[in-house]
Amino acid sequence: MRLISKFKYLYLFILTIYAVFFVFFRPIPKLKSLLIKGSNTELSKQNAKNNMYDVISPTNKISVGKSFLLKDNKYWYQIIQLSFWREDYLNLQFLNKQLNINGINIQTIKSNNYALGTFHGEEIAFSCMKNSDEFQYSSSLRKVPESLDINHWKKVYIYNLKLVFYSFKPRNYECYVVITPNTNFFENSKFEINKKIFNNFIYE
Amino acid sequence: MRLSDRKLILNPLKYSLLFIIFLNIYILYKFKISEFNQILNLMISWGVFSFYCEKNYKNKENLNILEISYSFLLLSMILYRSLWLHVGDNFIFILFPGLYLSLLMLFSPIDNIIKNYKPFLISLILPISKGLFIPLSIIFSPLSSFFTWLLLNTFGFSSVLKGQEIFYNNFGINVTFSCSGSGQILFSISAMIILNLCFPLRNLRLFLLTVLIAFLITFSLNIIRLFLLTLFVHTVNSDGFSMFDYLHSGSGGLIFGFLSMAFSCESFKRLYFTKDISNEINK
Repeated sequence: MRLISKFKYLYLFILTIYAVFFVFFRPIPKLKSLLIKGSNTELSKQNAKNNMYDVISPTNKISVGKSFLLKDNKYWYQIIQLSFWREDYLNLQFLNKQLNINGINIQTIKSNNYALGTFHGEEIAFSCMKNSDEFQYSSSLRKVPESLDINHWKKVYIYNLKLVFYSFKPRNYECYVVITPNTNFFENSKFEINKKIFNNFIYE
Repeated sequence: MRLSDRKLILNPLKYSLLFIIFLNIYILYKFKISEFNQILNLMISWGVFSFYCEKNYKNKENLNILEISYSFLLLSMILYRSLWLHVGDNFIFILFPGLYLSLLMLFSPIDNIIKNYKPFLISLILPISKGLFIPLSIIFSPLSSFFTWLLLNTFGFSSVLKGQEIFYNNFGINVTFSCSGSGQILFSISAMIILNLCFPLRNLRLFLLTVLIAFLITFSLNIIRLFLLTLFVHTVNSDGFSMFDYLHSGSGGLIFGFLSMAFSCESFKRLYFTKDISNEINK
């Protein structure tokens, strides 16, 4: 009998330990190791310390990794490594506030999208690139749905229920934010984008 | 029984419950749950805890090992899932009833939990209201749009209704789910349910009347809010003070929320005290 009554105190002990564990060791999205390649004739590089951008993760569903500044003859390209718990959480709205980017105007190309904005009086374009073919400013850029669109809301309802009870475990979605005054950058061909950005990194 | 009473301090169920309540309040605050839900959570916590202050539930000491195992199994499942809590995660709303049930299983036999279902029912109000949000919004979005349009035209502000959008003076508002008033309606009705469980009204008819009054007050106040939003939509994102931005923001919405709660609670109070008067007359 006395042994059983001690379980009641064990319950409280577990909760206390868990609360401490939760504060200090909460899991965050994983980031791949990313390195910049050696000298490149076309590009000059700076390390993260010399960045003009300072991004902080606003929530535990986003991890902020390394950042690099690449330059070519005409433009600069700020690269920030981000990882989200799932693709659906991809939304770069938090960058607008943190980096003070104003006048956001979303542009769509096929199934991709990027944002145009003003940063310190300079026109910039930015988006998070999974690869040269896939980039998004936000994964949920849709027209406001009609309230009587029952099928849409049914899907939202089931999706939310699934997230709570079944598919809560994260699948990391890693992408690289590219911020550049080259406003036509995202309209470049895959080859051009790879040449300017992705070919400059070593992925581990 | 009061919080300062010795029995309460020595009762592990009560201080464990207090611990869970404070943990839940902290988590809801930390994960930026809306002000409405945080206030509703405070009411729920008060409702659940008041049961243990008002009535000294007798907890069976000789629980069997199976019940203890179920309790710890539920606790470990909740804690494991909680590792991935984040802003916008709906599991946050299930956290309190889950922890509360695991605590109850450790302290009381299942029969006792079923017999004293009221505090557990109160703890379930937040997840239930979240579950009802989308179905109710489907109904209330077009209704709110229609009545706002009607009110505008009644007062001579010539406006046009297109689906759930209302246009006035070349500007327009889109009555989305968060503007439909469903959140506030669920909030007021939840408050009435908690109040009725803690301070039962004379009969079911009176309770349904309070629910109807709470609904009508909240719905009407939301129509007034939408009416003002439509009139001031031209001030959106303007320099200086914008009436639209203020009314559309959380603090502007809270004013209407508090007003509807104040009127709803006043109506409940009036109906609750009619019970005492009638009892005295009967005597």
